[in-house]
Amino acid sequence: MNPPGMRPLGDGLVNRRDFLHSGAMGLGSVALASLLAEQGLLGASPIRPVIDPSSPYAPRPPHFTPKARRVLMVFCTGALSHLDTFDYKPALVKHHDKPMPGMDKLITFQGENGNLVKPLWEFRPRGQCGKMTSDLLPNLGALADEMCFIHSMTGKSNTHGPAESQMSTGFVLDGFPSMGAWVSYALGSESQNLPAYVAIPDPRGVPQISTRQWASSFLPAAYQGTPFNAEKPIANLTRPASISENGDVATRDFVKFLNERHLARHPGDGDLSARIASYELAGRMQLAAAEVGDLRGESAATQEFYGVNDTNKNKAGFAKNCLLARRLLERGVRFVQLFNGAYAMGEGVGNWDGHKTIANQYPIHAAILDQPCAALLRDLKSRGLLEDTLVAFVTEFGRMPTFQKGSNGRDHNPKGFTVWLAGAGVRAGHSHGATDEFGYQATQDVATIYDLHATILHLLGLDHTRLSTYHNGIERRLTDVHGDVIGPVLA
Amino acid sequence: MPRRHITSALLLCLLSSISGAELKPAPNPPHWAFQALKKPQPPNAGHPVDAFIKAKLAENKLSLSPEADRRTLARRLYFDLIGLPPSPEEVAAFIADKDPKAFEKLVDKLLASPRYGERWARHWLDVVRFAESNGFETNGERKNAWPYRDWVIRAFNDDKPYDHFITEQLAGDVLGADEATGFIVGGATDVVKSPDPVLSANQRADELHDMVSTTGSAFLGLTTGCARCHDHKFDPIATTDYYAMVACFAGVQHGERAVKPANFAELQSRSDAVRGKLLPVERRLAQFDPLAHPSRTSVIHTDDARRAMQLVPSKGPAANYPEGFERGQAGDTGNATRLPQLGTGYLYWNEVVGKNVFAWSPQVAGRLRIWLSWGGGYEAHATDADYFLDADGDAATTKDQTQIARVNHQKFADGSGSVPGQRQWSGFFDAGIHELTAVSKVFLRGSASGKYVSADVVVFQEVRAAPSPAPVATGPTLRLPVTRGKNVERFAPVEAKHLRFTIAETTQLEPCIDELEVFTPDSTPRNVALASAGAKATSSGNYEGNPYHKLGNIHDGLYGNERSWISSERGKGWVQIEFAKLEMIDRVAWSRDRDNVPRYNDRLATRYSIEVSRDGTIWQPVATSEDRLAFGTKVPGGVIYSTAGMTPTQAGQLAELLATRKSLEADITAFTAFPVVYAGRLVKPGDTFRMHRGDPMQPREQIAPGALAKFGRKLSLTADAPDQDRRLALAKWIASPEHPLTARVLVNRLWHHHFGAGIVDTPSDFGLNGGRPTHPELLDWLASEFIARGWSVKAIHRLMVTSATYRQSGAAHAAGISGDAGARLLWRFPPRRMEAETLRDAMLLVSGKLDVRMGGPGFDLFNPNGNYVKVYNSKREFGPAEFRRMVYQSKPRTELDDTFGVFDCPDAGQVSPKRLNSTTPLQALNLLNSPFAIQQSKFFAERVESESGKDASAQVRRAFQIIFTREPVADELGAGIKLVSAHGVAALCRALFNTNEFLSTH
Repeated sequence: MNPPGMRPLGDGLVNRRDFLHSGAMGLGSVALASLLAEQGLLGASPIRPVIDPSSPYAPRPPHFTPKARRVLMVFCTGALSHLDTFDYKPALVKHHDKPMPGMDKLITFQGENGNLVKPLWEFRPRGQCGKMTSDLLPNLGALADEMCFIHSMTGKSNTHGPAESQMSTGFVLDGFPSMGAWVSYALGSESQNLPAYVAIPDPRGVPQISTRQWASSFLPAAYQGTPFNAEKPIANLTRPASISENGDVATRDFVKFLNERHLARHPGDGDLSARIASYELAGRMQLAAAEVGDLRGESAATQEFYGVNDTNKNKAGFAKNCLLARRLLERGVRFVQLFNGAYAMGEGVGNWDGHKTIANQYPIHAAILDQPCAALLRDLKSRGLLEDTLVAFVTEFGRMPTFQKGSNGRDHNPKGFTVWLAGAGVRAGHSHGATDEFGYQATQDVATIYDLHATILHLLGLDHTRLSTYHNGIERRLTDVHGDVIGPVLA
Repeated sequence: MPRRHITSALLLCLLSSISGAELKPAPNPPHWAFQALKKPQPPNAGHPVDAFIKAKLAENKLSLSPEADRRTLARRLYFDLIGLPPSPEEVAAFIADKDPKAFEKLVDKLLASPRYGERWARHWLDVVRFAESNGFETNGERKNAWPYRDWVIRAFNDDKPYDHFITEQLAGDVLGADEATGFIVGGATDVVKSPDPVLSANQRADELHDMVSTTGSAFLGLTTGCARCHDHKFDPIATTDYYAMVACFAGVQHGERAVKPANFAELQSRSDAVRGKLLPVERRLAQFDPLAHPSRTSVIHTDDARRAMQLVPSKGPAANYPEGFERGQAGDTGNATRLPQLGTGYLYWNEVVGKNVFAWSPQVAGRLRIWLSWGGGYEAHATDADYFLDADGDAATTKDQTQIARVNHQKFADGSGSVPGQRQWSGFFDAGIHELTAVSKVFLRGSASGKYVSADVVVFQEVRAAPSPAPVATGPTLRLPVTRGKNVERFAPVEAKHLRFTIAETTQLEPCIDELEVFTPDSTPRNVALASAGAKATSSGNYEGNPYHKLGNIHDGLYGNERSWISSERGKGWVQIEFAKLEMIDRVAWSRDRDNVPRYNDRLATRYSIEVSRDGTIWQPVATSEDRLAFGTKVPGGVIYSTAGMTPTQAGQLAELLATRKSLEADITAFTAFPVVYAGRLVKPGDTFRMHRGDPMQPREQIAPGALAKFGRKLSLTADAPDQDRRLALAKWIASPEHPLTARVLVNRLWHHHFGAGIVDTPSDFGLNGGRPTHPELLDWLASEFIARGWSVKAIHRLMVTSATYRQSGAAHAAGISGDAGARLLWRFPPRRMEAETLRDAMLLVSGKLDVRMGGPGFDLFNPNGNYVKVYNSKREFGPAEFRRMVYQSKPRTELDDTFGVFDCPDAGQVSPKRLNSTTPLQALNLLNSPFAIQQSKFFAERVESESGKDASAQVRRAFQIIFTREPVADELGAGIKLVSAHGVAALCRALFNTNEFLSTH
């Protein structure tokens, strides 16, 4: 059968189970595996949420009681070095400028590597937990007590595009729905007047894989991330200046009038009423999105706290985006994806891709990220939002403990890197998993991106093995056929 | 309505078939779609489609609805067949047509319209994930991918038999339809290349996976891609079947290739004739290939940090030579008596009387000839620049200094030429042969006149033999820098049985050689290094990183990274060839990645020597890298012919040969400069292995090309079958009347688009995990009919749309809704919303702006930019260039236009066998406020005004006629007049574009 939300006009009137059993086709049109699963005979059965087409953002129940009601994902593009930020490796300091054992056989993305290089910034203990983090990101480091670090992350690709895809969609190939799309498909939203899923691109530009970061792909378009930020509002949100307010109202009233007459001539067509409803929702969204994007109502102290008025244009832009993220979460948006960094623009300009002169490049990016992102976390905490908001701070992969041969930067390294979680349901002030003594490969409690995704869905009350959609012959999941919830990071 | 639950017996049977480690489908009875096609008898008389549909409805106590009114039918048929609305006049004519065959006539008219192919090509392009960019990180454009789209449009318009449609897409290069193979390479490819062999192997495996999966899903309705890592969990597709299909595509790479024009045969015979003339010219020219000079050579540019130093800072940064092809200019290609431009810009000093300003330190001891060069062309330059050789390299001790030259820095090295008042490179000046120690230096000293002296590249070249009395050389013996492509080493003929190539340095990593050829001096040289000629290869050690880079590749006659040898050691290694017998040889050709598209420059040997031996014990060097220009040096024209030791007659011959070659090559280019199409580069396929768990680093047994063993005829090919044979055989295996899936899958796709859902509602999955047919006999009847009618797609359209089932009303009623809400049994015609492309096209048609020009490069809905990572920003202003049908949009992968993208427009990241149909507030906002919608509502308003005059009532009526092909009813008219009077016609038009009546068909 057509999964809910994908049916042709008209079949929105039956519920799925009735349709399954009353359908004249018997076995016909029902995927065998899903049918067997439905009967509880194949273990975990797929769950496709039942979606009312006239209210695609309506909240839908999770599979079990959730810890988190919404997600903030902070995505650092270009691959942030774990070794210069959160993964403290004394042996790396000790063996500075010595060859890494086994390195003579090693080829990474750019080719050969030189000697081990100690972190370029000093580490010191922070917070009650005494977590060692570096001076590169002191404001974020100061919040170590809120964070649960996963130091044993591994990814499938050592090149930016596929790695970014995997972190956001679970697949290294193009064309799969992003996590935000899955979450809003499953749960709808708590805000009926804003998109369920908002992507906030960095002021410098879109991330490396652009809109694939927030694509709905083969999930309904209603669940694609709507991209906007503090400087660039939702496309086509407002009536053009050439149209008067009265004219706009009269036009929309006329549309409504014609649509209702049309519906009366075609009774029983659910999609027609859904589209009428979508115009009403659009009208409310125009007001709500304008309101949420207007930062002028925030106090001067709050603006200062985030760094909104900083003379560094990129920092001020990112600070505004952080403030926007909080306002969206506060208003019930289900999934907010906040980008720090854009596509490749030349090193030290667009993102964290530090191949050449990391010592010069990273302070440029740290100045943009650190204060605003830390302010956002503190603000969420002080408003009580952190209690039911999950924060996931992620990147594409880690970087090498060595410098590239003939260069003063670190190459790509998907064999070991760090992400952190904070907020709802997360074991705060904890570090999970570890890389080897130099921070090259994850060795202890090795975690995959599938595991991370499974854990995020779990905190939202979703079973990653069951949340699914049918596409092109396959019951698709965010976690493909992999993934285990990382138990020790849960509170 | 009968309820059918799964019986426990059936369940057990199903469970036993799909549980356990080895998942094999129950052999008996086979899955319906895998059974041979049998043509069922329609259950009743009349239109066969209706007979099947009515019988099933009757079983469920339902019946067809009455025929829809003609206006509705016309709109339905126009949108369905050509993707555009009818004009009010066309609808009126259809309503007025009293001919009982009026509907059939309309069907024929629309099927004959070129708009039909545009509409149905879009459906196919969805199924095959066609897009015009590479995807992944950079997502760069494929400027020449559009010919495939045009080919699909033409195929539908010409009603190309579907079996041909299949074979051409898989093997069009053999069938005179080159652009059709754009199908194979229509998917994403990661162009971010790395020296990491694991990444490279995964990238290639993903490309092949895309080809195999898309072929399986598009033509066979099978999820063949599922068998990449393990046997298919539901369908009888073994992992070995998957890799047999991979082998069919092993010779296809992503990229462009030249396409044969109509007069290809004529052009080919003409270019062959020219090639015939070129061959002897090449052979004669080869005799002038500079002999390798296995002696020490130092080419020192002024920015050489180790061997060159400014003693006094230059007056400015290196002064570049002007663009142009004259002697001394940047593009001078040289000729038989003159080296090409090798200067890289000159440093310069004035008012430095008697001071040493620059020093060269070759760090080579021995008898060396010194070649100087400078930048000239100005009267302000000195005519008496002095050069001194300092034996101990210490400028403070002067007794060991000897003047080696005093030259005119205004003119060319030979003192010729005028002083044009613009920069020119001097060429090389022979400063004679001198004894040097490892610390000796050459100084440039400031002129007594205080005028400018300058410095550019200088060469020191060892002289082994006593200087010959033969004519003085006109320049140092230099050879081209090594490249990833063919490098030639020519030497005096020598008899040898062994040849050794020893590498001492590479651009990066372990050295790689894709082919090492050794030629005899015959008039038709033989390559005696070939394994097929009986030669044997040995090496210092072979790379173990992956299975491809075997030693045998070095003399297998095949080029390219995939057919190369890699040493086991970083930066060094040797390979040795033993010929079948003692041979006279005079030439070696070798390369790292001799492929026609630049790819790998890493692992290239930059320092090496080549030695030969008669007995394998006593070795004699015949060529080294010493006399080659540094890797990466730009040489205008790309050729160097040394005239050293040449008589004037020989030099004249050389000049003539070069000119002849240039003109013949120009002729060949003219005869062979065919348009290029993004339809795949076709190469000799390498070996295919089964990859354990789908991991390209875990090859297991070799797999020969083939198809799916459990379906259709058996297809066997040998492991070394040529590329074209593989694809053609696979194509014929698919496009066979005996194949159980091919015809069923296509007629189901047609049904899916006509009726909103397929008879099988999973159009690209006919396997055990796919949907079951609602009307299996109808599907088989249609499939049989399709084959019987010569695979004519238009014939099947006609059959489907002329049925009463298609022509019935779309009105809902309680009995239907309660029994079959989705109308899968077709008790009514299922209504639906327009797709993104139809919506945009319809707005343009209604506004009067649609440009129906067909074919050619697409229009862009994004602003151009040239970033390494292409950034897609939607255009906000539109003009006539963007007013063509959306199938002609140059469609980037995974990037959707910010107006129509939210209408569930597929992004070609993955295949899209059926579109979603979701409703979002962003759709409403885009149709209300986007610049495109606003612009088109203004154009629509202009059209209404020009066709109806100034009266508001007439305007509203005309607008309704155009967009809905009906008159407004009284209250609609009243409300419309009110809107027009207060806010203008454009407000009315903006509203109409947003109505459900416009957006949906019934």
